Amino acid sequence: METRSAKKKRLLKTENETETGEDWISDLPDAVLHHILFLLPIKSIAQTSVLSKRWRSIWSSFPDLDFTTTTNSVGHFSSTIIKYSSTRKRVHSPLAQGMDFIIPVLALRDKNSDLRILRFCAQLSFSRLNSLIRCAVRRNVQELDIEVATDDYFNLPRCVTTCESLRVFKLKSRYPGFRLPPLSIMKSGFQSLHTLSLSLVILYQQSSLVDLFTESSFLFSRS
Amino acid sequence: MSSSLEKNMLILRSSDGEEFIVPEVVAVMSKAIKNMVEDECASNTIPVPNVDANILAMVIEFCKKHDESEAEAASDLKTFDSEFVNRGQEALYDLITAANFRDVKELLDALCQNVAEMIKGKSVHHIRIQFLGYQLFEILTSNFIWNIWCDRDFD
Repeated sequence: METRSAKKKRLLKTENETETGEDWISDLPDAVLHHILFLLPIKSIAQTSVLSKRWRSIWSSFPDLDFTTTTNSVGHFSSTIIKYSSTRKRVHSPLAQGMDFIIPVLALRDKNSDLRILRFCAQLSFSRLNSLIRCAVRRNVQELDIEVATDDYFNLPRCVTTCESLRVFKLKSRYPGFRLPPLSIMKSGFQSLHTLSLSLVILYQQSSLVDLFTESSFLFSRS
Repeated sequence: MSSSLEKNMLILRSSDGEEFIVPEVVAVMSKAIKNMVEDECASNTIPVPNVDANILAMVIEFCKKHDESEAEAASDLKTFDSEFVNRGQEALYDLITAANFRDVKELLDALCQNVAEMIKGKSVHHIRIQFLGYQLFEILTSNFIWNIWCDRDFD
């Protein structure tokens, strides 16, 4: 004997299958779903996290976080920076507020899943930048691609040089620039690095970057 | 290995027992098969479990086209790819799992691109109806507040 609700469910189910097909996409392996989602802007990826529990876990373990695909375009970014550097005053740009969600996104990630790529373009304080970089290094990040404007000069966090998983490191400071750690630390660091790109480095009590390239071992074998 | 023809050909056997004779250069576009060939653990016939004849034929068609058209214009290949992946959802699923399991990078890229295009620009409701088989009233009753929150813009 079939109850009324069971009958309703059964009918709905058959109707469902004929009209819309079954949920094949959620059955794909995580790696494939990550591959598919990587082709979308990060906002769309985040939105898929509400689809189901399965998709929530896909999002929380998503390894390639590219925040440069959000609506705050680079063009917008550069115009605010010009304004910022000419007046030398803090400008509360929409960009600065818009990028506040990077830290929560990282904090809400699955604790056991590693990051592969972290890419963002933002105007933020050094302490925030520092905590972002530290967080990424803790998650064994492989590619860091950062473009920033900060209030003041900052020192590159040392954890970046000692990060063993880091393969690609790009840091571009729009304003005002950053200092590198002492040469002795740089020399022994960057063990897995094969691409390095730094922009607006301030050489402070350091003769030149050439020393880094001649004295360290990593670039000989990898570049 | 009696003749050069045999040397450069491999036999792939699908899960339902059908056999395909494929040039080695085409077969090794699958990294999984390439590894088997390199490790010399493949005899003349390579079983391809979990992939039926229908899907295997499609995968071979794709790999052959990509192998032949290396010199051809990239735009031609792109048109071929977009037409190739334009299939029903069931075939798409089987192709994706086959490409993923056998590690055929070009095919997986093209398929993922296709699925991403299907998702792109769609609202959460739309994805639920189109892909997850939800009914409209289910959507209206489940996670209603959460959806409203997530559909708003971040900026």
